[in-house]
Amino acid sequence: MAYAIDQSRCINCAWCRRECPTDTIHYFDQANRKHNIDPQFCIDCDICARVCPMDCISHEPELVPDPDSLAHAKQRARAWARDRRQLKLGIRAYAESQVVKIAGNGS
Amino acid sequence: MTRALKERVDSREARREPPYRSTMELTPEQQKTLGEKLGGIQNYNPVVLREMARKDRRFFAPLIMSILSAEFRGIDFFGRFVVDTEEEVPWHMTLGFARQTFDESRHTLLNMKLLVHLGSSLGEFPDIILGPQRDNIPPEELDPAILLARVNVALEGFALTTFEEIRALAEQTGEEMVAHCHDYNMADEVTHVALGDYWLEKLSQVQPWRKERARAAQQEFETNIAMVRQMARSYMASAQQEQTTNGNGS
Repeated sequence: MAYAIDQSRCINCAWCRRECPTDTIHYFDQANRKHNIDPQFCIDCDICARVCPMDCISHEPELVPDPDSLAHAKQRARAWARDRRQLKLGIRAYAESQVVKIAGNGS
Repeated sequence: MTRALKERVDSREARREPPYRSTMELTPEQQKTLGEKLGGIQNYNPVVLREMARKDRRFFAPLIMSILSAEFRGIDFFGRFVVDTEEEVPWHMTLGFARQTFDESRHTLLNMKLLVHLGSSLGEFPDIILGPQRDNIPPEELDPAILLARVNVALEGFALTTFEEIRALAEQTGEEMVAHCHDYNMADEVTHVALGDYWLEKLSQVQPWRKERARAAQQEFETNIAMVRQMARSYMASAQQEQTTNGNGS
């Protein structure tokens, strides 16, 4: 099962594309100037539908990716999650060290 | 025939006080003061500031200033477009831009009051947005396709994520006023993105070459945003290296 964007209501804000863990939402390579989900690499995570400010992304049970594409997409999602988590924790640790440093300087 | 508005007003009358000032334009003394407040001038980066604000509320102020900078820029671009555009665009599009100029003015006031609420004020932190401003904006930047793509769709689309992240952070840290204001701002931003996308589509139907120009402007914007994240990543790496060198692995 995969998700699909209602092209008539999409405002191209790119929020879904920025959040998609498998990079399967395309825009710049689309001829129609609208965001599109490639169902072959959609892992059914629901993140895009939750962030969409227009509520124009819906679950489409008839869109079924082939097993190989799905396995590949899941691998990509795992790597994405790992990288994102590392970055988030890294920036958080750095920011905390800076706050401690400033407090230590007495400012 | 009535003269165009741009011929009737002196654009140089409009001036922000205190004037625009990027980090690069600060005097060495001002840079030093900013560095002391933030633990280094390189920390004047919204990605880092967001995490610093999680630990200490005083870092919400520079974070809000980064948003305020973009709001002022919205007034500059939309306002200039309304009075200055040489392009023939539908009257309703000009009206849409006038409405957005008004929205950005309201956001500006809202964020200036938020700064005061957080114990700061306009001018304490520099402007984070670089590039042409006010009457220095070159005419090509006021091309409707570029403006819609870069400001309405790309910048304001990106603002949706930023506002939501700040709103969520403010909610987690008990900054109710910040959370409330950003929730409010966000509703306008969705309208601005939708307006931009609508008019870009309309203009592209008449002038198909605008599509490519718009896409290039959006791509360029996203490359620049990726650089901000990359910068945060590099500070993080250098800080880790520094900790290792100092034998403090915590």
